Amino acid sequence: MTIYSCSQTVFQERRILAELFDLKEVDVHIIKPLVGAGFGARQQLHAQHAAALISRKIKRPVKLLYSREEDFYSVVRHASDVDLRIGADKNGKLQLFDTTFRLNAGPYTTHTPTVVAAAARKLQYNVPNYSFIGLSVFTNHVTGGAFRGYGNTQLTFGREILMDRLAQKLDMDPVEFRLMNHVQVGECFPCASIPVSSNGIEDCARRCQQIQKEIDEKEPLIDDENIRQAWGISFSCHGSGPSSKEGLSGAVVMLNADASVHLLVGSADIGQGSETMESQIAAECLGIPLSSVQITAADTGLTPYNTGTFGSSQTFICGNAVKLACDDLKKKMVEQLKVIYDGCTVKEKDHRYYISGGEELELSFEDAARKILFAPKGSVPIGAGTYKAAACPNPFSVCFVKAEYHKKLNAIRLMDIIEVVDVGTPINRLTVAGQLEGGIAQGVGYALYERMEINPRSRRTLSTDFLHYRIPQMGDMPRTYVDMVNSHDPYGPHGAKSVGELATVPVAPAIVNAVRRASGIEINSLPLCDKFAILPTERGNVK
Amino acid sequence: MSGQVLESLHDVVSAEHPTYIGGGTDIMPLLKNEVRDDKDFVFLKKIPELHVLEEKDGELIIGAAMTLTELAESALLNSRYAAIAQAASLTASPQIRNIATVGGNIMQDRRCIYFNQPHLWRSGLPYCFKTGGSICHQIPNSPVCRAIYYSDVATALIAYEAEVEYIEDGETHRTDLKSLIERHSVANGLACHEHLPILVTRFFVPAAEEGERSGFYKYAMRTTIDFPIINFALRCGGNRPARLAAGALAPHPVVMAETAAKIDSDATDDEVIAQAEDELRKLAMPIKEACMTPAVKRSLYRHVAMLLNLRK
Repeated sequence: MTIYSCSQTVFQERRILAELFDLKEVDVHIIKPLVGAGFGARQQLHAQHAAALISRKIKRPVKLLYSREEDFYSVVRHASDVDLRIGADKNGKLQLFDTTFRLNAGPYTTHTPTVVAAAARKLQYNVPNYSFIGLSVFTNHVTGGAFRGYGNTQLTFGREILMDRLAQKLDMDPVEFRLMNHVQVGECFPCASIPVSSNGIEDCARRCQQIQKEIDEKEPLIDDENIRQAWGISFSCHGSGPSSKEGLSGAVVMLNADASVHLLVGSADIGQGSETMESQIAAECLGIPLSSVQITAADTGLTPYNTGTFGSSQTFICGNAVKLACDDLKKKMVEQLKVIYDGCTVKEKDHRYYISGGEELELSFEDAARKILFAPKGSVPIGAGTYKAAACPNPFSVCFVKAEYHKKLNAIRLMDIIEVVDVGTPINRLTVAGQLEGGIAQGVGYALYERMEINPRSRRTLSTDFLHYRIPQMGDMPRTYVDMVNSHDPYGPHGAKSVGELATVPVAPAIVNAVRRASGIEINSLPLCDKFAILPTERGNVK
Repeated sequence: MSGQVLESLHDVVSAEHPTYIGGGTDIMPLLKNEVRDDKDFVFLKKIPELHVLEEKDGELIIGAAMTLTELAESALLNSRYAAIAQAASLTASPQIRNIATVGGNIMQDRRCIYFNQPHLWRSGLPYCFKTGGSICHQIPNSPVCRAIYYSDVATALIAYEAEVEYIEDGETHRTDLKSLIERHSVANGLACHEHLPILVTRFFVPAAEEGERSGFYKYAMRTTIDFPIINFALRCGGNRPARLAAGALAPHPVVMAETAAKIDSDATDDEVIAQAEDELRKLAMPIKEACMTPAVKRSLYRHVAMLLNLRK
C-alpha cells in the first residue's frame, strides 16, 4: 500500500494503517509530497484510511480531497475555559499558581489529554505552590486537535494577563516583575526534574526595550481626548521536543566520492524549513558547501524513523540525529583510513585528515572520500545516528505590543509588535525570522478575530471559509520587529533550540495587556472583536 | 447553459431571462454554491458604450463596464469625486477590483449567512426566500428576505445623488440610483432566478461644485478583502446641502438626512455623532452576521466620526 499524504507524522500513519489493514509496516509506504503547512492539523489521521479502503475495494488509485468547509472543521485549536489564580508576597515574589484548565475536546478526543498535559509543563516562573487541574471536556462542538502552541498558548494567555495585573497592583515594572521571578539556568520549572540548560530571557527583554525606546523616540505615546496608546508585554517559553519525552529521530548520511552527501531523515518539512536546517547542520559538521548536501525526507520506504514533526522538535531532535550521523561518518572515515594506511596514525581536524607514521599525508575531505571509496581496502562510508530526547531545552520569548484605544469609538488598533527570542544558536536566521513573523501573524489573528462559530439555528459552523474565519493578511499586520539574542544550548545541535510554536505563544497576551492598559478595560477572553471594533493598521479612507 | 458576448448595445439579446455579466465576481461563488442556477449569460465587457468616464454637460458619466480599479485610479474621480474613488479602492481585493465592474458591483446580490453557504450546509434548513422557499431564517416572521446589501460604491454614488440608466424590455430608462437598488433588492429577495433582468448602462452624477469635499469610510475587520460591516459616504461644502449615506445596514443604502442637516449646522462633532447613532437606530435593519456581536455592530454607528474632518 502506497499513500501520498501531506502528513506531519508519516511513521505514525504507517504504524496505524499497518495495524488497521493487518499489514507489515514494511508493506505500507507513506510518502510526504513537498507541500507545506499543517500547524498541527496534519498530526492525526484524516481520510488516509478511507482512501486506502476504497482503493483496495475498487483496485484503483484513489484521491480524497476535503472541501474547504470540511478542512476547516476537521480539526480546530482547542477552545479553553480557565480558572486561574496567582499570588505574590509584598516583595513581588510569586507564591501561588493555581489553575483549573478546561479544554473543549468536541465529541471525541484526538489530542486533548496531551494538549492539557503539555500546558502544565510550561510555567517558567519560580512558584513554590503550583496546582494544575486539567480537564478534557466533551462537547457537541468541533473536534479539537493539535495546533501551534498545543495548550501553552491558551494557558500563557491567562497567566501573562494576570502577571500584568499583579505587577500593577504591586506597583512594579511588568518586565522587572517577571524577570525577578523567572527560572534561571540550573533551576527547574515547577514540577519539572530536569534543570534549565540555557536562558536568554533577560537579553530578550532588554532588546525589546531597546527597540521600544527607538519606536517611542520617533512616535511618542499619545494620550489625548480621543486616543490613548500603551505598551503591553508578555513572556513565554516552549519546548524543543514533545513534553512526553517521546521524541526520537534517526538520520543517515551517505558519502559520495566527490564529497557530496545524501542525507536521509524521517522528519516532515511542513514549510518551516527543516530540510534546509538539517542540510545546514550536515554541511557544517562535514565542512562541505550546502549545495553538496542532497536531502530526502519523510518517506517511510527510504528514510529512517522519526516520531513526527510536532512539539517544535525537528531542530533539536532530528538536528541532533543528523549531527550524530555526521560524527559517525567522520569516525568511520578515520577507521577506514587506518585500514588503508596500515600502521599509520590517522587524525581528523577541521575536516582535514592527517596521516602520519609510515606516510606523511594531509587529505582534504574530498580526497579522503575518494580514497576511501576507491582504494583497494576501501569501503562505502555511511554514517548513522539516532537521538532520543529525554529532555528538551526550553526556548524563551519576550513580546512587546503597542496598541491604541479610540475612546469615542470603543475601537482598538495595533501599532507595533516586537518579539525577541532565545532559540540558542539559530541554524538559519532567515527561516527563524520567518517563523517569528508567521507566528506573530497567527497570534494577531488569535487575539483579534479568529473563532469557530456554530450557528444555533442550522447547527453548523458559520466560519468555514477564509471570508468568515478571519486571519490577518499582510495589509492587516502592524509594524513587526523580530530579533534573536546570542545564546547557546549545550544540548542542542550547534547550540540550537526550537522556535516554531514559541513564536505564537506570547502574542495574544501582549496584545491584550496593551489594550487593557490603553483602554482601562479588563479583558478575560478572546477574540477582541467581541468587545472592540478593530481598526485596521492602514486606513485608505478619508484622505 | 448558454453564453452570448455582446459587442454593442444594439446587439440583440437572444436569451429570454438573461443574466448580465461584467467581471462575474459576484455571481461565480453563487453558482458554485448552487444558490443560483442561472442558465443564460450575456457578457458585456466588450461593449465600448459601457466603458466611459467623463464629465459632460454638467454631469459625471460612468459607464457600467468601468472596472473598480479604473475608478479607484482615475485622476478625475480622485480630484473631484473623492468618495467614489475611495469606495472603489476599498472594495474587495486588488485582483477582484481589476476585473469587477461598477455595474456588477451595484447589481450585486444581497448577502446573508444563511444562503451564502454551500448546498450541503443549506440542506439542513428549509429553503429561504432567496433560494426558492418561503421563510427568512434571520427573522422567521418576516414576510420578505432580510439580507443586507453590501456595495461600497453604491453608498458613495447615493451620497452624490446619482442616477442610473438601464435597458429593460428593449427600452432605455433613467431613474435615481437609490430607487433602482431598492427595486433590485425586492426582486432579488425572491428566489435568485427571479433577479431583475435589466442591463445597467451608465451612472450620472451631478457635477461637483467648487469648494465641495467628499469622503468615504468603510469599516471591515480586515483591510484587504472583507465586505463592509458598515460604510459611510459624505459630500459637504460648496453650495449644496450636505448629503450622508450609509451602507451594509439594510437591504439598500440609507440616506441620513437628519445627520446631514446637523453636519451643515453649528453642531459639534459629538452632537453629530449622537444624531447619527439616533438616526441609524431607526434606519438600520440588522441581521445576524458571522463573528460580529450586535453590540459591536451598533458601536460602529459612531464611526461616522471618521468623516467629520471634512466639515472643516
